[in-house]
Amino acid sequence: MGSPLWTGFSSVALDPFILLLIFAGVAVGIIFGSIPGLTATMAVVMFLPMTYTMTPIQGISTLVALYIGGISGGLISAILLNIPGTPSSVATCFDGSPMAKKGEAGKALGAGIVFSFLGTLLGVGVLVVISPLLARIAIQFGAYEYCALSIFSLSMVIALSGRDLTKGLISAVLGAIWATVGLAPIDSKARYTFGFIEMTAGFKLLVFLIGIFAITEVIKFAEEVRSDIRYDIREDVKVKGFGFSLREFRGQLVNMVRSALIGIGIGILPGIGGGVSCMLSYSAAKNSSRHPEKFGTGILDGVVASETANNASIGGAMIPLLSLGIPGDAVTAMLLGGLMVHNVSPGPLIFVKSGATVYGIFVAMVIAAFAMLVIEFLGLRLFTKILRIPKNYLLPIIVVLCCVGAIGDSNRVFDVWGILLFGLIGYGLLKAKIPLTPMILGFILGPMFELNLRKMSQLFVMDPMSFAERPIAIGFFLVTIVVVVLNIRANRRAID
Amino acid sequence: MSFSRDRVTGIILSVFSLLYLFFSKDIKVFRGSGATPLTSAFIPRFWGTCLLTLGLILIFRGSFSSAGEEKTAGSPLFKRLKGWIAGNYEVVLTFALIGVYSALLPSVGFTIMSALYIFAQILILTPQERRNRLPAFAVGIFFAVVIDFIFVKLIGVLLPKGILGF
Repeated sequence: MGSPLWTGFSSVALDPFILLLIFAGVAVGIIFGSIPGLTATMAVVMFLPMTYTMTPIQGISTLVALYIGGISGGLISAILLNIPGTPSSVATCFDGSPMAKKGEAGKALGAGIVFSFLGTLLGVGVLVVISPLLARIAIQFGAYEYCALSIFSLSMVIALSGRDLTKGLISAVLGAIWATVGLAPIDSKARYTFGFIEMTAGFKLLVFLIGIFAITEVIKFAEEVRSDIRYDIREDVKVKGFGFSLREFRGQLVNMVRSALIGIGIGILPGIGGGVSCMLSYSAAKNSSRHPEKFGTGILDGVVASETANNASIGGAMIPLLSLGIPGDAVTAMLLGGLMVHNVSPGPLIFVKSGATVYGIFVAMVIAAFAMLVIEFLGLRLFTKILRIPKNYLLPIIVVLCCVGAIGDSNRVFDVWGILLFGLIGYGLLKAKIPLTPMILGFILGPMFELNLRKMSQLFVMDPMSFAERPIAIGFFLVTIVVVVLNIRANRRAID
Repeated sequence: MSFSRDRVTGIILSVFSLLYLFFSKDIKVFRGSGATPLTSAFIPRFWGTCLLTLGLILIFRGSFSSAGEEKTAGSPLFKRLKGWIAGNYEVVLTFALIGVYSALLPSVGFTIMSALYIFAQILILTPQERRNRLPAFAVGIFFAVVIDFIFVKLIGVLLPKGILGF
């Protein structure tokens, strides 16, 4: 028995089967990321049941590889189709597609792949440094701190809501409401079970996410059947070397570091994720550029900013997931489900209870970044062909696999009804123009908030001054107030 | 009567939150030693009240503010709904199909139901002029068998076997 660090490293890097799983996971993730409408979340949803019989480190390495491949794969369709494969690649379209139209598709793809790789490594680097520190601090957290933290995380809904705060809040409250079904925390009293024994366990996170994302995606496609959209795919892709010169690379270093920091920062904030980080870093690159007028006409800076940031946000999003048990975005919410399936409980004690697995995850992420670099360069021509796979054949198979995932998670067919229910809810909310991401936050943070609020109420009744002795909790409450006020003002300014 | 999107959403959410609050009366509250001052009914009532308030804000906004909100004047709700269903029957059929799949899965079994589901869903998701039953059928059978083999035989996931035993 060695240290958790060595055990984690050796269990991943020296196990050919796990290396194979990581390479396969990255390849599948890239395919999902590159096909518009399929996302990294769906890749993780679809392949989660396949990890059930794997060891925790095998299963989680596979899921992490799918995540990294899925986020990175979006650049292929963003550049070649001018359609972002995933929301994380929206800003890649702005300059990537004009570059492809100018005959520089190879350069755009090469830069996108290399800076995705570097962004991932930088994000993982920060993850490795920060998450153990954060976990060490969080180990001192009690009910007050967790309650304050969940309120702070829920306050992020305001940032997520865009211009319509009411709808963002509705989404978050609905998520919290669905989480109240089942047994109450602390005293285990049944709530909203209506006599159904299956309802006492409540709705599983996996079922909730599958319904919201996978089913809604199928329905969105069903809506477009009659419009029969066909894409114009550019297949004249030639990449020499990395596609760009060393001088061009040096010229992008500041842009890369700035974008990575934005990506990591946004990733850490609960519920925001890659989609926002790529837009923000693109804007930051444009605002600090000597030639902002060239952005959008097909320059390397735009592709570098977007791709570095969205991949760096992967490491950022993993920090609160592992250290606090709070997911940074939809995919990490899915990974949270995956960790739970494999009996790994994210939170401050994760380094104590599952230290080897966590270090194994770090190693898997680094290997997955290298796998992404190799696979994307070697398989570029193949991925351009894969963009042609008909989604009308692919989506029904994904639905069946999602159902297998839901049934396999708790061995009950009842969960397929749950998928249908959340699919209906997700579609209804989309039609009402209510964002879905805050609902995930509400669903995950609602029980955490309730449990700790009720514990806090008990502590407060016993000793009303106990709250004054919790500076971290007070700090979180104050930060929450500042965040809420600033975001409301920013929203109002945007509306005006 | 004309309906804005916000007003309809607000009405649905308000009705839902009222039902949610109404059924919170069925939550049994623990009063023994170690009970928390905030009971197991507190949070559902808190969220229910929040949702009701937000629903009412949406109704108010939809009724008195036309900013950024499209209204279809003179078009009754059921007529709009009927028109929407006619224009989106693929959506309705997809939901219905998943419902049938869920309902029959335990009795018919995973392999048969999945093959039928994939076949029917492919046809629904394919534009009418390009629909081809043979490849859809082949894909349905192939993937249902492969998925069953991988998950049941190799991974050991328990999937419903149904009356025919597979």
